[in-house]
Amino acid sequence: MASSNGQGQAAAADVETGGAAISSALKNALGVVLLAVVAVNVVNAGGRYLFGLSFLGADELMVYAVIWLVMGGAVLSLFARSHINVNLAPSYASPRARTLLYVIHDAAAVFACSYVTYASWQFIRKISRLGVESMGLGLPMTVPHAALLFGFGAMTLVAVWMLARDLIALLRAPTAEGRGS
Amino acid sequence: MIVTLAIVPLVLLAIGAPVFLVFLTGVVATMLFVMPLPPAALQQVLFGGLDNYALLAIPFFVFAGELMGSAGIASRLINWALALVGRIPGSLGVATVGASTAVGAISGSSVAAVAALGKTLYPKLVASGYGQERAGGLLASSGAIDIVIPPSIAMILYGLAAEQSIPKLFMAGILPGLLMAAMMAGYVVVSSIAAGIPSESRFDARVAWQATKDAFAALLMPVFVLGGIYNGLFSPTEAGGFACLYAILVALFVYKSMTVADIVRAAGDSAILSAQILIIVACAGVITWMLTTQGLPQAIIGWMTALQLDPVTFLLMVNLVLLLIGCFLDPTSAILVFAPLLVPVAISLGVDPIHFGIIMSVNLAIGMFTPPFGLNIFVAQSVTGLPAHSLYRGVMPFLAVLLAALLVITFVPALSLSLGQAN
Repeated sequence: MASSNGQGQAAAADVETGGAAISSALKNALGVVLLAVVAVNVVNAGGRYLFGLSFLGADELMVYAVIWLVMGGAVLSLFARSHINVNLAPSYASPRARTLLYVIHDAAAVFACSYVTYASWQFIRKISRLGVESMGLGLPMTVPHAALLFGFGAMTLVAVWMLARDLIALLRAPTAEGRGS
Repeated sequence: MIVTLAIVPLVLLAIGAPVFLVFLTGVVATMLFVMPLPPAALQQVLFGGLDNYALLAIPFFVFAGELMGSAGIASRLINWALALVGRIPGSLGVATVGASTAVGAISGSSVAAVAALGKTLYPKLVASGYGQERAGGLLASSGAIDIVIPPSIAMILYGLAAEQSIPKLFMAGILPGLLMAAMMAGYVVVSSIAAGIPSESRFDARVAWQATKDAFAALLMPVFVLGGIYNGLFSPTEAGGFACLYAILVALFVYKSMTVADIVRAAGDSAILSAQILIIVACAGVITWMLTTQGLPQAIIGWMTALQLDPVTFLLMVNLVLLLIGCFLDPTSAILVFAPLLVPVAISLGVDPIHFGIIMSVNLAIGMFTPPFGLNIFVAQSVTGLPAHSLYRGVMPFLAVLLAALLVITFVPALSLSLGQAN
């Protein structure tokens, strides 16, 4: 039993280490996206003022890229438990009470994000049938809308994993340390 | 509906759930259990909240601020402010206020300013004779100025939520922000004389010139950004993009303090912070949409009309309510939820919406360091290592000073409108 517990803890540690490495790589990827958006903005505005050239769809490209960036960043922030919050209660709670608070946060995330994923899927099915395209780029609108489907879907999965992890931590012996991240 | 749109979100907020989840859980619970709406509407409103060109200014200004912070700008600004005010009693405290104002004019993030300045200034303030409480209180409260001094993320969001001109809001924030800084600096000087805290050094023109040269590239950025917007050269979003380019060039070629890899890392950090702000924007939009479709703004206008409030009483009431809200909710969320509800009432009572935006921002800026939940208190706590109750005592005098500034800003509209109206 102790051995299987130890193996479980090691596996969880591996998942967290792997998760941290992936998070770091994804964060840099989001950084590259932001740099690209800045470049498009500067080239577009500079081109317009200096040469009277305007790039059709540049605004759409930037906005849609940032929507994808927001959803990617939201997933990473949920995983890192770094979203903006009023963290007085968790920071003053005992480790066990903090784990209980995290379980409630995780459950709320599973509840809300899974419903938004469902809503997003419903909407994307509809507009994909209609074949709606964006005004400037002529991009299928399923592409920018899919950012929300991907983002909330991924947040649901992350929240399910965090809920399972925090529930296990909560159900351990009362003296055990709560594990939040 | 009160349970799903008020009680559930308040409980989640109090127990530290992420703010975007606070809004989203309330909305989803309302849609599932109280007010059945087509699920696709939720996707449309969430997406609509983000599908806005003007919002791009937020990641741009966050990134520009991050770059300038990482490029060692904070220490240069501190040295510059100290070189200018070195002879004044309590000069290090005055320099703290000055540096915070300058950082605010670059980044617009209050939390970033407290974190960046706190690490450098807290040990120096304590060594100079400021008590730990006072030093921590000064650092936590001086960050409030950054929410009002442009470029301000709070102003961009207010402009979008209340459909007001962002350039006008930026210009309107300059004098109130400077008034807040001047009143805080005045209090620091008076209290330093009373406490016998000496000045740091005599004024030396050569040192001041050298410090100004060192900080020049950073100090030029707000001139470049605000000048460009004010003169119609570019929109706030375009100005944000150019601010990033400027900051990259300064970091790589002027200060030579960052590599390309550092810039990518800073962009990653900015992307994450921007995502944390913008996901709140999307989710707050949904809760506002729900409250609006239920006719809440009209109900508030009707209620205010029935009370026969005059503008002065209304503004006093708004100040009280927003101060209270600011203690519990970050300015991003508070502006997005309450601006659409309060601005129609303010306009119906003849209050200028630009002036109202400044009043909202100042209120919520004060809330950033008001006990018990002010966000900057927690940031100062992590930077200084002081317990929260020490910081609670430390911020109290500055709370009184900025409440006095709030009254002046509320009842002297010309302070907010004189620069903005000229645009």
